Amino acid sequence: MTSQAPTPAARPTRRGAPDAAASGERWLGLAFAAPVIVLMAALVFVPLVLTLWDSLHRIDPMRAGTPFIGLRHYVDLMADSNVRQAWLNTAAYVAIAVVFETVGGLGAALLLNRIRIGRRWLLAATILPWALPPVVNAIVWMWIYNPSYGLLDGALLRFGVIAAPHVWFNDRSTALVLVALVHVWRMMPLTAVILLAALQGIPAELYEAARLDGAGPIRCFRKITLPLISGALAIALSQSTVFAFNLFDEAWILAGSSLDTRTIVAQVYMAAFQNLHFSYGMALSVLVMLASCLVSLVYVLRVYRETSLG
Amino acid sequence: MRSTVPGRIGLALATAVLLAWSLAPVYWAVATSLTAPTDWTSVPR
Repeated sequence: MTSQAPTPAARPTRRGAPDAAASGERWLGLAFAAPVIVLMAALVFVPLVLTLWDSLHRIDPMRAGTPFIGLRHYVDLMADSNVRQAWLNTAAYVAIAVVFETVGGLGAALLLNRIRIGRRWLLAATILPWALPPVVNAIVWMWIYNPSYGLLDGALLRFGVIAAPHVWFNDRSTALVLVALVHVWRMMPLTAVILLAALQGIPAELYEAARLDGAGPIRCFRKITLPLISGALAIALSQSTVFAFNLFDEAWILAGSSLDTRTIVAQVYMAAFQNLHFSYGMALSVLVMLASCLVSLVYVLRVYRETSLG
Repeated sequence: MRSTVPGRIGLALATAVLLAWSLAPVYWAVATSLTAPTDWTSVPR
């Protein structure tokens, strides 16, 4: 046998028309994506690069010129004790917010998914704190924590937990927890809604089959619910981390510029707009962005690895 | 799925806790805003 299959090079083809069609589709795709690319570039990437560039200069309205100083701001930030304290506070806020928002949001979502009567009313009540502007939320809680007229002291006095009105923001650890609690109260509904959407996408047949096989509620939760909502859980974890990193309004209104409760974003605000060290504030904001992205990336990559079919 | 009596009580309790967590601060803020400032500190005779 000497006959061979014709090689692609030997086969007569008319490649002109398909190539033109593919090229046309490519350009059409680019044309559709262009508005998003332009918007993202104008609103995200260009300001980001400008901030990064400016953080390498000394921009101070009280001093003449804007000389290039390289990484000096970043080196100074490492030695700044206020920045270190603000990082520690922010880490505490992130830890408290992520844990309580996730656990509470998951509990609320499971409850909302389970009940049949009055579900929409309970959902509306659950979402209400999220609908409040952060400033309103902080002012409401500022009065709740008030030692003279506040609900918290009033309730604790009535039940005999404390003997006299307590000024909660005098103690650093209590102040941190109370500020974080305000943030958790406002943001937990978002986690609950994200997880509720994922729970409602799980087919009921899976639970029925598992029950027929003898699985109890806890085993069903571990083997069916958790794996099937892991993607939504990653999104919820990412958003709660990012929002806790960006915590500003509640901490600022409840405790002002107190170093005990100062967040890293409040530190950026104070550096840039109160002390007028613009480029120093920009350098700090670059670090905040990197830290926030890194922490979120951990969740996203972990869940992507677990859910990827490849 | 049929709920047992303890399950129903648990659901009702969880619903009450969620409602209290979400609505109590808002209710207290609204109720306080409708109270005259002099009444906050007044002692009933």
